[in-house]
Amino acid sequence: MRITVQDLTKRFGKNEVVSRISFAIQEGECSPSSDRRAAARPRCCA
Amino acid sequence: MFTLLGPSGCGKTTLLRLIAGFYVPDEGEVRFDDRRVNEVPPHERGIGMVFQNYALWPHMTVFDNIAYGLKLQKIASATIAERVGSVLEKVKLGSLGDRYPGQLSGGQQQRVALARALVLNPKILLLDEPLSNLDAKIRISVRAEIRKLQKELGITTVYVTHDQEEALTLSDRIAVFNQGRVLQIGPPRELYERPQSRFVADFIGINNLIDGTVQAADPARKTLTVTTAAGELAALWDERLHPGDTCVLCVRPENAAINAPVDGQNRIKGRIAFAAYLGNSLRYDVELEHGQIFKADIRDPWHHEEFPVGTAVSVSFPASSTVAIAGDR
Amino acid sequence: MNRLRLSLTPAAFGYGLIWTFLIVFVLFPLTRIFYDAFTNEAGGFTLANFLEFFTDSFYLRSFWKSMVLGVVTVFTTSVIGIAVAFLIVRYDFPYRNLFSYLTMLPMILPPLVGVLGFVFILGRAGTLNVLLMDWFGLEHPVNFMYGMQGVLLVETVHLFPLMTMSILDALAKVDPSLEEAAQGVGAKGFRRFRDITLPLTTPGYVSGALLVFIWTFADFLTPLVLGVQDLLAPQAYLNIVQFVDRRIFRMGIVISALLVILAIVFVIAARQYVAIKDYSSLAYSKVERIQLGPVKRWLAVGFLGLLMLICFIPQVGVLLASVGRGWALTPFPEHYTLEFFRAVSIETPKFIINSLLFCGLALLMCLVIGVPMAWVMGRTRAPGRDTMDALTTLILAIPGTALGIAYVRAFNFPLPFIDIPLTGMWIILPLVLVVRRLPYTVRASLSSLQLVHQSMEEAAANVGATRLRTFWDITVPLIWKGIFVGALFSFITSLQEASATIFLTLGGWEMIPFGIFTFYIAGSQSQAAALGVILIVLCALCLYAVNRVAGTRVGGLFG
Repeated sequence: MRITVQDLTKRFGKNEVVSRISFAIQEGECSPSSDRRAAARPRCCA
Repeated sequence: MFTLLGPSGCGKTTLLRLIAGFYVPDEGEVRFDDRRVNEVPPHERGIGMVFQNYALWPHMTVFDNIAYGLKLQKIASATIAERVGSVLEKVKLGSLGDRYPGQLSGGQQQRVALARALVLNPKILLLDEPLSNLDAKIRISVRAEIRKLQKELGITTVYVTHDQEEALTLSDRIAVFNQGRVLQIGPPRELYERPQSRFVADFIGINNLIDGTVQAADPARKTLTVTTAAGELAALWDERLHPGDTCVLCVRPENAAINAPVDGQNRIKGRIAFAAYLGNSLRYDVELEHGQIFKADIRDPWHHEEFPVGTAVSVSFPASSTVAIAGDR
Repeated sequence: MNRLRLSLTPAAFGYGLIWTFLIVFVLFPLTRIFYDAFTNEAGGFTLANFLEFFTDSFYLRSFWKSMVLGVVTVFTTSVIGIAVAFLIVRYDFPYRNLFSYLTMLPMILPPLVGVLGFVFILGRAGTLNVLLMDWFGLEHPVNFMYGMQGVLLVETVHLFPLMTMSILDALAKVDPSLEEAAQGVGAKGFRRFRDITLPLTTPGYVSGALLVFIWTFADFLTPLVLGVQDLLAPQAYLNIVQFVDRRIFRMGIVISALLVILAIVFVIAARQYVAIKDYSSLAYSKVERIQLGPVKRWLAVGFLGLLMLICFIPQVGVLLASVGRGWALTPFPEHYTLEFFRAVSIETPKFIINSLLFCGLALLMCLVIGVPMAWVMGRTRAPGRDTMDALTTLILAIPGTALGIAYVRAFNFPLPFIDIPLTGMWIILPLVLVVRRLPYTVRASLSSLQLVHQSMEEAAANVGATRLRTFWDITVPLIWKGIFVGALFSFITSLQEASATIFLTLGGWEMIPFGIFTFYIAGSQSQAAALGVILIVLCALCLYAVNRVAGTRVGGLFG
């Protein structure tokens, strides 16, 4: 399953603990076939 | 496996709990595939979570701990027994079903927690510093097991840790966090070799950081010339840096050599201030002429005669392993 | 070598003294009543006394009624106590902080005063009945108080905060991730409460429930004031105090032995149970409180408000009775006066003076004996320290009634040289108070001692401080707050003590609770009420001091 996080912000009281976070985790990110060499190539998964 | 890495209190656990559904975000959104899940309670998100302290229910046996979620779904008890049995096999705890958590070792508790997260066939696995309570030796073996299991199952996994070594070995990609913000996302190697901010350079591994100003940029030869307190140094070219910009140069100790004869490299003079024998390497602290300490490794200490403290030496490192980061990052 | 021996010998001597105290004033009297209960006139072993007790239909009925009363009280206090604890810890609603003080109430309301207060308001001629008759033309007053229902009401109101505190403490120690893990696999609302949260608080609950049961079972004052005599504890009191004949006196001792046996069995059972089910994590973790919806939130406020109102009935009752002149057949007094306060303070100051004197002495002795005891338990491997620990828990569970009877029986022989029995000297009152209240001082000192890491003391020793010096310079400054709170708690509960001391009080030694009881029994309700108000004020002052020093957490003292 793909997870997408968009502009996420969470405050506790006045403290902003997580601010405006965005990224996506792809489904294929962790497929059994993904070996280290492939993962090391810049931006292969983004 | 996607890892959230950062020092304690940086917000990584909070983010994990936002994904899990234990917190509701104040702004922004979380999506699973195309479905917005901001207000969906944890158990309807199809996630399995492993807590930092395992959070095994002490008053239930291992079997009951794992079976509880299935019981809530009113699944027939024969099916439950079968599914719990198979997941226990998967984590190699086949015979311990009737024990209580208090009777298990840390590593075993960890695996029960994993089994409990996996038994509901989650689409997403969330791990909150799952190894932080284990001994160093066990940690490495459990780490390998988690990696193997996750690859077998092929589920999207988000892993939280403050241990950079753990993050580098386990992850497909890492998001480095500080003070509630993501500083850089990338595969381990990219983070290690091409940090894009001072924090990442400093947090992951060990780096010598030297402040300077860009003197000249040469896209053709892929180099930058940078003026620093230690003299003029050459660094990897970066399209975002222009003459006049302030920047930080990062050099890893393993890329630096002492008294090396090779030419065409950056070379700085200094004196040996301290030597630390690490077994597989010897790490010198070299005090540069302007007072900064520069760390440089001897990678084969067996065949190296240690310099006494105070010896004048030269430190050299290639431009191809000197990374320049814009000063304000 | 020489120095070591010199410094060890006084320590060993002191340790011996503590054990001597515990043996003489705890073990010996308890053994003595067991000896009496299991022997005949000639001194031979027999079970005849117990056989007689369990074949006598009257005693048997009293026994069962006491059992039932205990069980029902545990039930009512559980329902209310658990509800209050969960509301306060887990939910957010208006006035939540105010209501959290509910748990402190019993400490400023001595049990004996509580009974009187209820009688003034809810009795046959009390405010409520008068109002009902005036407004609704009620012919005969409703009997709220006299009988088992009244005993149950008084015990419930008095004891539910104890339950709340036990649960609060247990609940605060439950790791919230345990509940989150359940939430993650789909356990919601009541299901999660039943399967996860409640089982995790059982150790705290069990110790609370046992204290409630033993208290109710052994309380003789409440039933007597409310005219209930066919319970076990009132029978013990009547048998011993009236001293009609040897046989009946012996039955009193048998009952008191039964109370002790019950306490021992319960403590052992609880220890076993809690030992195998210690779920507490040391972390007191923050939980996000759940906001209640508009309807539920006012239901919560309504429930707690009503509860608080009921809890305050006794205070209002004694206050009105203490300043009302000739208060009869009207909802509230018609004339007000301070003469009763004058009567019990300026004219006969002995109640207040004796109370302060004896309890002050008891406080001193608690410190002198209790703090070293805590130190031995927390810091040494001295032989017998586990037994000492068990003994402190046992003392907490042994009812004052039993201890009072045991003292009457054990210390009535003339002492050598002075030829007076200990029961003939006033010092026995502070002594019995020390024994009763010692556990509070020990527990509080021990728990604050455990918070001081031993390495801090070792660090002092490392730079050359002697043991005594270390204790004085390092340990005491770090733990004095805990000791102070425990000692004041011992003091408050000594002031309120009315069970053990009543058996031992002779003319001239009367303390406040004794005065309240005898005034009330003799029909001088206003004097009793005035003394009650004075007692409440004294306790409230001490509690204020505790709060100023320690904040609000005093939960760990029980259980």
